[in-house]
Amino acid sequence: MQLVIFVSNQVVSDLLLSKLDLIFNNFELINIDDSINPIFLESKFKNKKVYFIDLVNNIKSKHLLSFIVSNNSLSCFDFKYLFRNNLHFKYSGRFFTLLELKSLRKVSFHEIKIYNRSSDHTLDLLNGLPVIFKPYNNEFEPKTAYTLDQFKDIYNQLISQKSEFLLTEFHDSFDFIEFVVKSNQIKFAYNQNQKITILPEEIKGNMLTLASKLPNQIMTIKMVKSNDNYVFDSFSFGINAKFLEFFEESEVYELLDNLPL
Amino acid sequence: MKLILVYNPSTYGYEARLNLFQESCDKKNIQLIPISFFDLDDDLKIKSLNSFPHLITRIGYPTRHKVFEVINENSYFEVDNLFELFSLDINFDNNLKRLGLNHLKTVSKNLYKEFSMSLKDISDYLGGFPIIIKRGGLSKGEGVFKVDTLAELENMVNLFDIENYNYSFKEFYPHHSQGRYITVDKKFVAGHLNIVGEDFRSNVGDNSVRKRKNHVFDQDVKDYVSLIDSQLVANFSGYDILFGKDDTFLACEKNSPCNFAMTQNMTGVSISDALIESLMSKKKML
Repeated sequence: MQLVIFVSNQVVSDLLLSKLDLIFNNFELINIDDSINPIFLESKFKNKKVYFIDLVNNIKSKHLLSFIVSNNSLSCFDFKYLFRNNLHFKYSGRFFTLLELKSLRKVSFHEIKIYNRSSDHTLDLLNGLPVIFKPYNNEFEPKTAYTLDQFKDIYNQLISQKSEFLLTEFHDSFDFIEFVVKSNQIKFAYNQNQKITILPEEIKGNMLTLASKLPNQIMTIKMVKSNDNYVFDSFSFGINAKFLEFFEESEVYELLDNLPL
Repeated sequence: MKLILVYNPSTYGYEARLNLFQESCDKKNIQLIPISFFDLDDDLKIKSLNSFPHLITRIGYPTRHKVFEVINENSYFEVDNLFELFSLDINFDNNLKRLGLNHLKTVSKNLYKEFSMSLKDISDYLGGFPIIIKRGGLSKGEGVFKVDTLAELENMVNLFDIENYNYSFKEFYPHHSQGRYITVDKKFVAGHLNIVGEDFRSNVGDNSVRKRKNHVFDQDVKDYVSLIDSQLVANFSGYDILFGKDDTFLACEKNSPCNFAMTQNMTGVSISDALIESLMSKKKML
C-alpha cells in the first residue's frame, strides 16, 4: 500500500511537512503546482494499491485525482461521492434555505450570464454592496467592490479577461471556523490561528443540522463571519492542511481510523 | 396533483417529450404545468401557480439551479436525501475506469489546460491517431470530430479555444451500432438500437446513415449498466452503449434527463408513465 498526499504552494509549509513526517511513516508528496504530467502519474499508479489524501481540495486537484485514480485506489473519503460536485454550495444557497440555515449569499458568473441578470438584481441577491469577486481557481486575487461603479468596472474587466468568477456578499476571509465532521458528528473545529474546543450552542446546533444531511465520510465545512454572524460558506471532502497543522497525531489517527496503512 | 415540467425550448425534440408527458398525466389525472426555462425569470408567473406542486421534472439544460428556485418557492420536498438531490454525475469515463469497466479513455479540457499537457502526450495516451475531439453540450453527433494527425488536432484545439468551447479528447472506438438503454430508479425500462454503419460517431441525426431497430440487450450488457447505475446519482438515465466490431461493448455517455421519445414510440413501453410513477412514489426530482 502506497500513500500519496496532494499539496499545493498555497497549503504547504514546514509545519505541515514536519507533521506529515510525524504522522505517516512513508508517503509520496505531490505538489500539484509543480510541473506534473498527469499521464505519467496515471501509469505510475495504475494497478497499484494507492491511498490518496488531497490537502488541496480545489478544482485542479480534483481533476487530477479523478484522472489518476484506478479501481485499486482508495481515499480517505467514499469514492461514490468524490465524483459528485458541490455546485449547490455556490448557487444561491437553496440547500441552506431548505434547512433554514444561514449561508453566505453567492451568485456565479454563469448564473448572471444564463439569466442575463442586471447589476441591480445581482447586488440585490447579494444583500447589496460591498461584494467580493472570487476566482473559481486561484486565477486572480479576490477583488472587493464598494461602489456600483467599482462593481461594473471589475465585472467588465473579468469578463474581458474571460475569467470565471463567483460573487459573494461581503465577509472577512480570515474570520472563519472550519469544522471536521465524520459520521454526521463534529469531530474537530479550528479557526485561522488555533483549534477551538468550546463552540457557541447556536453554531454547534446549526452545524449538526447540516452534518445530519450530508454523507457519512470525513468532510470539512467552513463558516465565515458576515454581518457579525457565522454563516455557512463551503465544504470539501476529506481534510485540509490546517487541520493537520493544529492537531496532535493521536487526534489525526482518531479521525483516520480506517486508514489502511 | 400537479406536475411542473421545466423545459428548455432549445433542447432537441422537447415537444415530443412534452406530448408524451401530457398523455401520461391525462391517464393519471395529473395537471401538467409546462414552464419554459426562459419564462422562469418571471417571478410573477412562478408565484401565480399559487399552490404547492406535488411533482417537478425537467427537459434539457441548463435548468438545474433555476429549478431549485422553483422548489424553494414551493418548498414541498422532504428534506431527506438533499445531498443526492443536488448532486451531479460528472467524470463519467473516469467513474468507469475506477469501477474497472470498459470505458473510453478521456482527457478533459480542464486537465489539459491546468497541467499544460502536450497534445502529443494526449494522443499517445488515447492509443494514437485517430482520436476524437468532442465539444460539450451538443447532441446527435454535432461537435464530434475524428482527428487523424497532430497538426489537425492543433488546429481544432486552437479553433475551439478561440470560440471558448468546452471539449474533451477521447479514444477512437470503432463500432457498428449504438444502444440507447434507459433506466428509471436504477431499473431497465426500455431501449433500442441505432445502427450507424461506417460513421465514426456514436449517434447521428441523419436517417440516411442511421437505421433504428428494437433490441433485446444481453445479460452481460444489463449487468454492466446496472453496476454503473448503482454508483451514480440520477434516477432517470439514458445510457449510450457502443457495440464494437470485436464483440466488445462499452458505455460512452449517460444522459440525464434523456430524450426518451423515440425509444417510447419504437418499443411501446411508456417511459413517461414510469417516470411519473417514480416521482409520485418518491417525490424526487430527476
